[in-house]
Amino acid sequence: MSAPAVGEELPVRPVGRVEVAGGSVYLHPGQFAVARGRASMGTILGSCVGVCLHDPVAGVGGLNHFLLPRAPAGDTSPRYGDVAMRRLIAELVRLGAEPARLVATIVGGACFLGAAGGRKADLGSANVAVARAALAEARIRVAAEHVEGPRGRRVSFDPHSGNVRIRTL
Amino acid sequence: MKPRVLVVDDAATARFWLFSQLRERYDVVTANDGLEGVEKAAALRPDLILLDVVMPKMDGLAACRALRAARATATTPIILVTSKSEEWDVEAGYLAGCTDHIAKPVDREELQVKVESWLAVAAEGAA
Repeated sequence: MSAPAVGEELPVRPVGRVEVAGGSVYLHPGQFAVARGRASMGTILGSCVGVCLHDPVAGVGGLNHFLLPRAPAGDTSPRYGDVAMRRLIAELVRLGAEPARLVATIVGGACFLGAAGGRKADLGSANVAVARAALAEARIRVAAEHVEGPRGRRVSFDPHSGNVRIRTL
Repeated sequence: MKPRVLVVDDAATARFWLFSQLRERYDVVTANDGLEGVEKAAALRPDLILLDVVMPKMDGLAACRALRAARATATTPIILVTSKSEEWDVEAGYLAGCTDHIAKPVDREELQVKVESWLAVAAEGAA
């Protein structure tokens, strides 16, 4: 019999889409949210990446938070960047967004040891690369990036206005 | 030589589980609380530290700050492994100087990927 996992007695936090409740939502790793109208979507990112997507005409937007780059075959968890990006885009389209109008802000992917990103070994940079690739494949314009570097980030996003606020930690 | 990983957790079950997950690939050493963790880190110079937060004697956040203040561990990857994963807990961890965060219950793949990735980054930085 295998040993119990660390914290096995604790509830597993659900992944996937979470609803905006009371005008705000905090996203844990593997979660994403979409909304129409004013709201506050927030998360804290270390090596994880979050992508804010906004359609200024439809007034809808969404944010995800993924922790690993690519899902193994058959795994559909949005903990992985490729799945998280597909799910976020699909949910926004369902809410009325046009992919051609979407603009993206990529946040996170830190590397805390003071080194520049972009190396194979760097989990944060690998996460950023997956976000860029998914956006390029969907022909979504990247308006801004606040990625890599040595610090964690707190991000908050208003899906109606598209305003993104980022604070380094 | 295997990279050395220091596991700091006051719960014996957690220490054993993390040890059992990592021992094949890494030289795993353990400490029972934050204070012992800081002392063992200074003595054993681990390549990476897995640090619980809620512990006696010295909690994980205080231990993280102490490790960052010490020259030997100023840039050692420190991953908080904790059930305290609300947003203010996560922010406090990064402000204390942690490198990354893994929420309990621990996902095996996340543990392996993050340990491997941060050890590789640290090895490149030291090269």
